Amino acid sequence: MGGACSRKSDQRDNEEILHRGVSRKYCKSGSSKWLATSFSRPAIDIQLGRGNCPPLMDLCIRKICEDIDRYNTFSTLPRDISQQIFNELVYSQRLTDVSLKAFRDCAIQDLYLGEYPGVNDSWMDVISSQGPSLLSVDLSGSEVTDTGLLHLKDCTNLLALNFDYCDQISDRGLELISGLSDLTSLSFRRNNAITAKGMNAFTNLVNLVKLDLERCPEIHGGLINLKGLSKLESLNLKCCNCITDDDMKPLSGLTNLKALQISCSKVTNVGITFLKGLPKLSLLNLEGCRVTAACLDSLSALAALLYLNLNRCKLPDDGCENLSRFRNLKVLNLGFNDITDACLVHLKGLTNLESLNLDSCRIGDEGLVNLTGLRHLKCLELSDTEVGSSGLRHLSGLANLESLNLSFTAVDDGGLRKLSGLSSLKSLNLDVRQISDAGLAALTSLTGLTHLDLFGARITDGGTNHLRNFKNLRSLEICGGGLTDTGVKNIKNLSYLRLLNLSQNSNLTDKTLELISGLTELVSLNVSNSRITSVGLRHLKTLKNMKSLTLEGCKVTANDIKRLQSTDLPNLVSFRPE
Amino acid sequence: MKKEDMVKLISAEGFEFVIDKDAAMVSQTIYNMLTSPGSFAETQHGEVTFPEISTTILEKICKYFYWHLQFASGKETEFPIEPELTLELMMAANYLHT
Amino acid sequence: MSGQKKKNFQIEAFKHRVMVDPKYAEKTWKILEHAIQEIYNHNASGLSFEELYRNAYNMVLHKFGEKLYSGLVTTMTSHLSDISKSIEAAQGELFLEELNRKWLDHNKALQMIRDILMYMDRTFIPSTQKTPVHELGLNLWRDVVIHSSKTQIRLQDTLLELVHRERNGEVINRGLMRSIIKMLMDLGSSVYQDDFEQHFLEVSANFYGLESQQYIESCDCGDYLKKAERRLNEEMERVSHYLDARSLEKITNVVEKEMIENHMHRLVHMENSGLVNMLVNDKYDDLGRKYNLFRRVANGGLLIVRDVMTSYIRDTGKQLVTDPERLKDPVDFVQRLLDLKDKYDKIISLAFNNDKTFQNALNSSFEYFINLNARSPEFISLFVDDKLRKGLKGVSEEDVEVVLDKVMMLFRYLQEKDVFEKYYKQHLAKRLLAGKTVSDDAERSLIVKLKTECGYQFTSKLEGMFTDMKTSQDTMQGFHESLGAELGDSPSLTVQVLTTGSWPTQPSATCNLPAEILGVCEKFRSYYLGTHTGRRLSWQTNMGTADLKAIFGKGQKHELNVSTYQMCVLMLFNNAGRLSYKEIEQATEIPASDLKRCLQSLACARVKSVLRKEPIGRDIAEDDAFSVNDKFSSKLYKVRISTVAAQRESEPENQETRQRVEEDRKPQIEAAIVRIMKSRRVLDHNNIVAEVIKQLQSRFLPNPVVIKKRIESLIEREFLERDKNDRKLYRYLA
Repeated sequence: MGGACSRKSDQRDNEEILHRGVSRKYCKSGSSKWLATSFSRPAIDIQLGRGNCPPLMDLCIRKICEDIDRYNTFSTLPRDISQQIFNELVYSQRLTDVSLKAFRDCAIQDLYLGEYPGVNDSWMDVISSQGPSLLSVDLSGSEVTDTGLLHLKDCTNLLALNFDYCDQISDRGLELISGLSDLTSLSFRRNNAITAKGMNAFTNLVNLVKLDLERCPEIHGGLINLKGLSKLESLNLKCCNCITDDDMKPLSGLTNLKALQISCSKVTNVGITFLKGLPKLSLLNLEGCRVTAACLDSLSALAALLYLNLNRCKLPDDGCENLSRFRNLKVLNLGFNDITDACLVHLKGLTNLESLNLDSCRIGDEGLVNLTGLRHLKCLELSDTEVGSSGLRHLSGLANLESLNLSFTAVDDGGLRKLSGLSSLKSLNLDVRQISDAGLAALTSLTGLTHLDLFGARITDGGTNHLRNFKNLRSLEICGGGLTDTGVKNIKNLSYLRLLNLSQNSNLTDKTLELISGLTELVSLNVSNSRITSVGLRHLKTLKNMKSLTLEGCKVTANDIKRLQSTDLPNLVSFRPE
Repeated sequence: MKKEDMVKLISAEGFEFVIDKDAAMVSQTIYNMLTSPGSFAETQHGEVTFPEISTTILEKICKYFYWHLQFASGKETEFPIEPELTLELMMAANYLHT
Repeated sequence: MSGQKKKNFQIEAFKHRVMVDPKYAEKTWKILEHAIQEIYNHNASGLSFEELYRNAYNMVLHKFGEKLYSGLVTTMTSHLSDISKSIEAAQGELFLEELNRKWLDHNKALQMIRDILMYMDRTFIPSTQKTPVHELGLNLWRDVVIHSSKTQIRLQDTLLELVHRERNGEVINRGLMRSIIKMLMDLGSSVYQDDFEQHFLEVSANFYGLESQQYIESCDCGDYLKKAERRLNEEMERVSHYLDARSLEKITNVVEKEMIENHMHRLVHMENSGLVNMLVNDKYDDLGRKYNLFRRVANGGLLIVRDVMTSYIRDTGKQLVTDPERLKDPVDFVQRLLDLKDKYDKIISLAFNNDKTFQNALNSSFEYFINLNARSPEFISLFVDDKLRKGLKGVSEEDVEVVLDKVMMLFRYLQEKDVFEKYYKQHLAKRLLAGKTVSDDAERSLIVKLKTECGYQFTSKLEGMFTDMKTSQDTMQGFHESLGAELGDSPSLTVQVLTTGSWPTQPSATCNLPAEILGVCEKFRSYYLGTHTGRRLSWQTNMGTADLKAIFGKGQKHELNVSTYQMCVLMLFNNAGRLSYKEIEQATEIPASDLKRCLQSLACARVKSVLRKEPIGRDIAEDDAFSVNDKFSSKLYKVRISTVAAQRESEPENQETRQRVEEDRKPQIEAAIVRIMKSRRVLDHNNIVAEVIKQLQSRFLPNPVVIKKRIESLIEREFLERDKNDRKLYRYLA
């Protein structure tokens, strides 16, 4: 309990990208998104029914939330208790504009209302009544307008504000918060109304550390106002198509800048030259920018650079020799460029690389020999390349490799033996049609695997015997059509599975659902296009953690699933058919 | 039941509740009172006076103590809380750290 | 719920006492401050916990947390300053006691204070990132009391002084010591380390550096080790009694370094008491101590011990096997080897913890010196022969196994296992044919052991010999059954039919058998060839025995057990009184060397010679003459005339055997070469040699020169050819 005073750490940009390294955009199921999504309670974590006796305090708070209409004010309660009641109301979705009034003058510190339904200007009065106590407010996705922001000017100690997707806030709103000079974090994603003129407000926010203007299309010319923000460390301008080389110029003096994201902007080599003098810049996202290989020359001056995203920059081999100068890089994304094996020669010396993305590049077996020395590689993306079995031998020494994507390559069963020594491997994507049971047999030594994608591989019941070696699997996809209920018997003991995709195996019957009814960790299940019927749904009652269930093309209706959801699967938030 | 296994809890109005020590010590505050090394008055006399807790609330608190013990031993029932008592009960729970 | 009802139940927030008193905070704090004072003065009894907790609770609730916290810091600091002064004032020995008493007081007070300020700990402190009460109390104690300028050094010195006194045999108050050390640990591992452990280790290193120097000059190795061991145990005990368990490794490292590691070489090589002396005198306790202490030294403590032991065993063993005196008695030679092995086995098991590396060192040493003497294989076989002839009589089955296992162990050390095989076969043949094996079980048991060690090929011929013995028994039974009546009075005959190749037969001319024997022999021959067509029999008269009934001059009757040769000689005297050597040689056609040995045993024995020789003497000459010794006498009716039995070979015989072994090796080496080349097709010289040695080393170590010759021979016979460009390269033909 308690913990009411910690600010929610809002590090999603850096973290998200550094951790994932390789873009997961092209994983078919978006599986990792499900697995990472957390719906846990923010402050109070009551675990009923698990032997843990709930404290009286929690029982009372829940009771208050149930009877919230009876309470006029909590202002005389200690601040940490009203914070707990507030958090519980948000969690249980009981907070309304009416019940909010009880929180007037409660000196609450954190108000996290991101994506909360119904938030509008009428809430701002109570929000601002927290006065100097208020430290952070998240109103992303709300209906709040400029008028609403007027209230915030009394909350002089505010540190963090989030107005992502608040499309009714404009330049005028910015002006209204320009007095909150303590602000360290400010976010206005996808705002069409903020323009260069309004951004004049930023000149006052001298303590800003983090500024997020992702998808703001009208901010061209406004960055001049950031010039004096010497503490700024992170600036997100992703998908701001208006940003040009001129906008880069004011950034050249922000010497504390560590992360800069200008993907999908109009910035060219000229703009990049302005970044040369940023000594602390460690993350640079240029995905889809109109740069050429010549920009590498300017970038090589950035001694602190660890992360470089050049995805979809249409780079040819020519000029890529400068890549060899980025010896400190940990993450390099070269996906969807016109590079060939000739370019990989220049990566040979980047021995600190932990993640490398070569998705859809024109590389083949020969080029991989240049990766043999990259001993720190944890993550390697090779999908949609010309890599085949003979190239895999160059990977067999990459002992730290944790994630490898070989989907849609020319790899076949015979080549997979080369991977058998990669004992750190946790995630393997093998959506390759020519892979069969024999290929799976060659992988049985990879007992640490947690994610295995065999989406299009021709796995049959016989091949599933090898799955028994992968006791740690969290996610598994076998959708090649060759599976029957018999094969599912070998899946039913993979007790850590959280995501299971068995769609397209048209012979699976309700028996399959019975077999997997013991996989209680399952969060997501897909058995589309099979012979599953509504009769079989009862076997899923045990899967209390289920959040997503997909049974398209089965004899199951949306109503069948809704019934199951209401009686037995309270956590189910997404299902098909809808 | 031995006397030293029991403790007397006295409400603001002077109403006395004699309950098992085990139950009372579900409250971290009472636990500290009864186990703190100095010979505080409460430890000496085996009784605690709560001048800021009313009889109604103290009675409810005692019920919670026993409910808690039952719950911990596997009998998981609902603990009923009357709406009009909730706030006061919550403050008492905060005070008693339970 | 209707709107009406809802209104009725509208709940007002909990009513705090509204603060009207502007001096509320000050007043409340005074109450708490007073309580803290009373707690430090041991006057807490009677204070109401509830009241104090409630006051602190309300102060935090009413946002006076900061005042409460800073008040606590000030009050506690001032109390601790007073305490510090009283500790500083304590005289001499009382210093530690006073410190300890005050520490215990503070601890108790701290716990009480923490309990009553619990609400502040729970809510105010985490939100303001302040130090929790308990930790605060410890930090203040550390800064105000322990690190006060007058206490810090004094405490350190006092503790180290006590340790020093204890090392010198005084009894100190360990309880107090433990309590104070525990305090330092409670204040954080860095306090324990900086204020005590680091200095403790330094002082200890000095102490043991000096002490070890003293001891090494005055003690012998055994005594020194005893003292070192005692010190080590003392330090371990000290840690378990009153130091942090994590200090164990550090302080034992100090003792190990100062007392063992720094003097390792001197201890091992110490004159008259070092390692060799302990080994010679089987000082298991001292050796065990040395092992256990040296093992603790990280960089190669045991290596020194092992190396010295190894080189000593090698020297001893080399002396033993190369001593010409020892060559005279093969059985004794082997027995000494076994004794030596037993001695070190026992040392390794009793003193060296059955350490594998020591066992390996012992084995490699034996392997080294046993093979220094080319006759070791022969001698080991002779030892077995001796045991299986007589040595095992009346010995239990388990003990037999023990002896055989020991022999096998020596066998394993042999590089020339094929030489052993050669001798073993000879000796076994003699035992079998002379009916001298004591125990069939023991014989077979050894064969099984050899088979497990070397495989089927090694023993197939030996087993063939046993089969022949058994078949012969059956044959003789059949012979007597079918011809029993026909044989009448003729001498009874026992024939052993030996398969050619299984037995170590030397091609020797058959001697002339006496007519009586010849008749029955011919009958057997026709019987045998009648049942086994297509076979050939030839008599091995050099290997048989005979029982003769003899009547001497004064009518003494004896049964003489003799060899076939001896029988042939003696039978001549049925028809002649005196015969010259030449006459005997002509009549019997026994090869000269055999005949001489045979006559020697008949005529030159000191006590009971069957024949008399003229002139008297040990050696047989061409012109000697022989007659029956009428005065022959023996207490026994049955007299065994011993031939000069299986013995260590003479030098020329030995050469001969070796030559035969070398001949036997040739086909084996060739077979190996062909096997290798068949699979490799092309290979250079050095690699062939290496692979051949690898393939054959379980039987013997082939000589590279011999291998080269065999390669040449194979080239001649066109199994191999030399590569046209690279003469070092061979190709497989065929």
